[in-house]
Amino acid sequence: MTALKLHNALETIWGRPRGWRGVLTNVNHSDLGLRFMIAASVYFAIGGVLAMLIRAQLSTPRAAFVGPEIYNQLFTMHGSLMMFMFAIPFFEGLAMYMLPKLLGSRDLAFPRLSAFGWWCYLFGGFILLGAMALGLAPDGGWFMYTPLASKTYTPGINADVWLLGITFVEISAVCAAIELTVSVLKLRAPGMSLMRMPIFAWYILVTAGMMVVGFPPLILASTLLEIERAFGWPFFDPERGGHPLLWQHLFWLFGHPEVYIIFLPAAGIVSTVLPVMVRHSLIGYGWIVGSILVLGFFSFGLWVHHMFATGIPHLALAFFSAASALVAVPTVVQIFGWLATMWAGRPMLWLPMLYIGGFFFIFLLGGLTGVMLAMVPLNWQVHDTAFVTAHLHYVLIGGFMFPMMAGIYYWLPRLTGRRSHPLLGRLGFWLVFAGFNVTFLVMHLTGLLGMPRRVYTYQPGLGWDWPNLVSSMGSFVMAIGFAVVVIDLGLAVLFGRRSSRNPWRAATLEWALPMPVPSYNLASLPHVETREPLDRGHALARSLAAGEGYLGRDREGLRETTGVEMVSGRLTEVVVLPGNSWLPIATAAATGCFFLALLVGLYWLAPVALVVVAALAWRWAAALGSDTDRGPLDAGRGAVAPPHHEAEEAPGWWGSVFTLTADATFLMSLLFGYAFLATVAPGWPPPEMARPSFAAAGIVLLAVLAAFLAEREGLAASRAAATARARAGYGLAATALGAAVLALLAFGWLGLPAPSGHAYGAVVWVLLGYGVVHGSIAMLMLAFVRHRLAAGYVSPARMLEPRVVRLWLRYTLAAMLLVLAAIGLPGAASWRW
Amino acid sequence: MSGDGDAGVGVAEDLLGMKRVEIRIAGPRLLAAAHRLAPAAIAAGLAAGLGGCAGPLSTLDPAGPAARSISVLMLVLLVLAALSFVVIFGLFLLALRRRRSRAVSQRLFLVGGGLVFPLVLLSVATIYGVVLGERIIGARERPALSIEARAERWHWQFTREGQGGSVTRRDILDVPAGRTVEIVVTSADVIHSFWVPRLAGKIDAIPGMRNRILIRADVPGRYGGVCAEFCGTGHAEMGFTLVAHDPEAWADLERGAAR
Amino acid sequence: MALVMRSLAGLTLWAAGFSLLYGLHGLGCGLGWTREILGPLTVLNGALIALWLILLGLALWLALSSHRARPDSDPRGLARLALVGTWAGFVGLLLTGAPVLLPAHCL
Repeated sequence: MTALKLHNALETIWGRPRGWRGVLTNVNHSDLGLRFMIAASVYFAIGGVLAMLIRAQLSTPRAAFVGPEIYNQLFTMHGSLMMFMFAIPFFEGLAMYMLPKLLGSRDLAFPRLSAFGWWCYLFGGFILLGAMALGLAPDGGWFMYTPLASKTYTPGINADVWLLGITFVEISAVCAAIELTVSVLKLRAPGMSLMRMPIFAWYILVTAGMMVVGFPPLILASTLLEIERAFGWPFFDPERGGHPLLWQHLFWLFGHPEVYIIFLPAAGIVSTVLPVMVRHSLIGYGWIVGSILVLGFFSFGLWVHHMFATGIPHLALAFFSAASALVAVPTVVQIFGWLATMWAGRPMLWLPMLYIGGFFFIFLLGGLTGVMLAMVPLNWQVHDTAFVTAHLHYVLIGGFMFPMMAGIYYWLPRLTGRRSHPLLGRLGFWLVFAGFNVTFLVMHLTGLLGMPRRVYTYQPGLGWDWPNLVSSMGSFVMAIGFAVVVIDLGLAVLFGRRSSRNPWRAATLEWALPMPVPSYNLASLPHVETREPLDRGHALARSLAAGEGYLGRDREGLRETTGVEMVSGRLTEVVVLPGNSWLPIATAAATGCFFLALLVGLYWLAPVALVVVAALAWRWAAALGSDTDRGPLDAGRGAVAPPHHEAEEAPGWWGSVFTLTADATFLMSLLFGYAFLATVAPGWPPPEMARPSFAAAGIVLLAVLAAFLAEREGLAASRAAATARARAGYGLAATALGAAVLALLAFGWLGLPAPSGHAYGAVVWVLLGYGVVHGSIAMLMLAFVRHRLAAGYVSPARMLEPRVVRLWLRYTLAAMLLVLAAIGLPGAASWRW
Repeated sequence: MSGDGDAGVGVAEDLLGMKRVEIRIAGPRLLAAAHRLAPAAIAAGLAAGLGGCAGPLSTLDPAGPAARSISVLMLVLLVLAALSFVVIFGLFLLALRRRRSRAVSQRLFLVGGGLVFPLVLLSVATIYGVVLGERIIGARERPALSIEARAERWHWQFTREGQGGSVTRRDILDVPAGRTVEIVVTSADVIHSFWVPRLAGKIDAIPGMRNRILIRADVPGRYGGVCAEFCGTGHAEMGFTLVAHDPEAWADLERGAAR
Repeated sequence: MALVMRSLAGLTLWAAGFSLLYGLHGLGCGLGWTREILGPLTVLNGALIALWLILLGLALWLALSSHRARPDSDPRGLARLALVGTWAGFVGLLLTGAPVLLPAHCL
C-alpha cells in the first residue's frame, strides 16, 4: 500500500463525521486535548480578570471599589478557577495531546473516557460560571473551611455550587488520571522500555498516579460537607461530635499533593525542552526519574504544614516540618540535572529558553520561601498573610505558568505548524516577567508587615499602603504582558509563517508526525531502541508513513495500536480501541443531572439520574470485546500478537486496578476520618453507639462467602467453556451479593443510631452507604458477565471481562467486611441478636 | 541551521549579520548585567525595607521574646535563601555562556549539588526551627495568669480572673508588661485566628478546641492584633488591641480600680 | 517488574511508617500518655521511639537487600531506581521520623 492510500484508509477509520455529530461524538485525543487547553486558557483569562479586580480594590486603603460580599466572591472564584478549572485541565489537555505522540502510539487507552472527562469538565464549568453570572458564586475561599462553609454560616446555595460543581470537575480529573497512567504503562511503541521513555512520560506517569490517590480525599470531603449541609449529618460540627479540623485534614491531604501535581508536569516540560534548547541530551535521566518518584511519595507527607497554627501539638508539626524541608531535595536534584545539561551543552536563548530562564528565577525564589514557610516558628508569624500569597504565586506562576509557556512556544510548530513573531513574543515575556516580580516580590514584605490574607480593605498608616499600590501597578503590567502573549499566539496561529517539520531538531517521536496532525498520529508504529528514536533526517518519518512499521494496515476498519509489557516494552497485544460514540456526552449529561438535582434540592431526581448512568455504563462496556476468538494477529514487522481482550494484561484490567486504588483511597480517608473524630473530637464516646445484630451480620458474612465461592466457580467454568455452569455461578453470586446488600441495610436499620444526632452516627451510616453502593455496582457487573456469557462474548481465550469483574467483586467483598468490622467492633460490648 | 519561531534572534550559529548577532548576545548580556546588579539591588532593597519595617503590626519590629527570636530566624533563613539563590541562579547564568560541548561531572552536580548541598542546609535550618519552636511553645512553663480569648463574628471577648471575679472586655486585652501570660483561645462560631504580630506568632480560634499560646510584651504599650483567619464579611474589621500595663497600673487594674 | 516493586515498596514503607507515627502520636495524646518517665521524655515518647526504630530496621533491611538483588539481565537503570526508592524510604523515615526524640507533651 502506498503512503497516500494508507493515509486515506486510516483517516477513514480514525476520522470523525462532519458537523455537530462529529463534534459531539469525537473521541480523538488530539482534538480533545486542544479543547481542554483552549477552555482552560479561557478560565485562566476569567481568573485573571478577577485578580485584576482584587488588585484594583487593594491598591489603596479603604477603597470603595467593591464591598466585602463581592470581594469574598472574587477571591474565592479566582482561586477556584485557577486551581480547578485552569491548571490541572490545561495539563490534562497537553498530556492528552502529546502523550500518544511521544510514546509512538495512536491514541490513549480509553478514548471514550477522554471524551467523558471533557464533557464533565465543560458542564461542571458551566455550573460554576452560571452561578457567578447569577451572583451566587461561592464566597468561602477556594479552600472552604468549616464551620464557615457549613449551612449555619453560609446558608445560601453558593457553597453547594462549589461542592457539587468542583466534585463534578474532579471526576473528570480522576478519569484522566486513570487513563494517563494506563496509557503510559501499556500503550507504547514496541521496544520502548520504561527507561527508554521520553522523560515527559515519566512525569505524566507519576503525576497521574498522584492524582489517583490525591483526589479521592477531596471528593470525600466535598461529599461529607454537602451531606452535612443538605441533611444535617454533623461531620464538622463540634457540638455534635464532629470537628472542624477534619475538613482541613481531608482538604489538605488533597491540597498539598495538588500543587505538586501542578508542578511536576511543568518540570517535565523543562526536562523536555531544556535539552533541546541547549542541544545536549538530558544529563541524569535516571536520577531525575528517581527524584520524580520520591517527590510523588514525599509530597503526600506535607499536608499539615497548611495547619501549623491550628493548635496541633508541636511534635506532630515537627514531622511535617521535616518532611516539607526534605521534599526540596528531589526538586534540587532535578535543578542540578538541568544545570548539568546546560553546562554540557551549547545554550541558545530562543523564546522557550527565555521562559525557562524565567522559571528558574521565579520558581527558585518560590521554593526558597517555601522552605522558609516549612519552619514552624516563622510559619506562626507569616501564615495567612500576604507572604504566603506571594510564595504561592511564585511557585505556581513560576513553576507552572512559565514552563507551560515554554512548552507552548516549543510545541507551537507541532500544534499549529506555524512560527511566532520573533519580537512580539519576547516583548510579552519581559512584560509578564517584570510585571510579575513587581507585583509579588514586594508582597513578601507586605505580609511581614502584618497584612492578613482575604481582607477586602485595610486601614492607612499600617505601612501597607505603598506595597499594595506597587503590587497593583505591577499586576497591570503583567496583565498587559499576558495580552501581548495572547496576541502573539493568535497572530501566529492565523498568520504565522509555516514551520519546517522539526524546527528544533528534537529527537522525540512527536516530531515525526506530518502537519496537519493526522487523526491516527502515525501511519505505522516504530520499533524503539533508544531514548532518542528520531533521527536528524526524515528517514524514520518517511518509513513510518509508508507503512513499514507496526500495524501499517487497515484491518476490517478497526482502530488499533500496540500494547506492550509495562517494564520492558515488549509487544504483547494489539489494542483495539472504540470509535466515535454518543455515550460520553450522554453519560456526562446524566451525571450532570445527578449533580444539578442535588444542587437545586430535587432529591428524587438524583437516583433516577444514577439509574440512567448505570444503564449507559452497561452499554459502554457492551460495546467492547468480540464474540469470536480471533487468535494472534499480524502486527507488522513479522510480529504477531493477540487482540487485547485475549491478552493477559489488558489496558482495561489495569484501568480497573487504578480505579479501585482511587476507590480504596476514598475508603481509607473515610476510616481515617472516623479514627480522627473518635480520638480528637469533643463529645466522644457518643451517647448512643451501634447495637450490632448477630443475625444481620451473620447473613452478610454468609452472603459474602457465597458470592465469593460462586464467582470463583463461575470464572473457572468460563475458563473451561462450560457456559451454563458459568452462568449459574455468576447468577448465584449476584443473588448472594444482593442478599448481602439487603442484610447490610438491615444491619444498619436495626442497629445504627440516627445520623444527624452525632458525628458517630453520620460516619457509620456513610460507611454503610459505601458498602451498599459498592455491593450494588458489583451485582450489576456480575449480571453483566452472565449476560455476556450467553451472548458469546466470553470464551476460554476471551477472559478479560470475567477477570475485571473479579477485581471489582473481591474489592467489594473486602470492603463490605471492612465496613462491617469498622461498625461492629467498636460497639462490641452491645452486640445482640 | 533551520530557524525556529524566532527567526533572526539567536537561531543561527553562523554569523549572518551584525543585527542578528547583537540581538542574540543581548539576551545573556542583559541577564548577566541584571545578575551583577542584583546583589546591589537586593542590598538597597533590604536597607530601604528594613528602614520601612517598623509598623504597628510588623513582624520585623518585635516587642516580645517570641517575635524577636522568630525575626532572627527569619533573617538567618533569608541569608541562607539568598546564598542558595545566588549559587543556583548564578550557575544558570554562567551556563548560558557555554559555547562548546564539554563533559560534565554527574557526581559533582547531582550528588554534590543535588543531594549534599540541600540536605546540609535544610538539616541546619530544620533543627534550628524545631528547637526554637519547642522553646516558644514553653511546654514546661506554667504562667500564673491565664486569659481566655473568645472569638465571635466579628469581635473578641477577653476574660480574666480578677480579684472580684471574672472580668470581660471587648476587643481590648489587658496584660502585665514584662510577664509571660497564657492566652487560651477559642471560638463561639467559625474559625478565627488570634495574632499580635509584634509579640508572637498566631494561633487559631477553633470552636470545640481550647488552644494555648504564651505571650509576653517586654515594655508597656499598645500592640495591635488582627484576626488572621478568613471568617466572613467582617473579617477585615476584627482587629483588637493588646494593652501592656506597667506593674503599678496592673495592680490598679487587678483591684478593679477605674481605668 | 520486581525492581520497580522494590522501589515502590521502599517509598510505601516510608508513607505507611510516617502515617503510623503521626497516628500513634494522635492516639497517645488522645489517651493522655504524657506522664514523664525519662527527663522530659514521656510514655508516648517510648512508644513512638520504639515504633520508629522498628520502621528504621525494616527500611534499612530493604535498602541493603536491594544492593544484592540485581539480576544481570535487567537494565541497570531499574536496579538503580530500586536503590533510590529504598534508600529514600530509609532516609525519609530517619529524617522525618526524628521528631519522636522531642518531648511528647502534646502541646
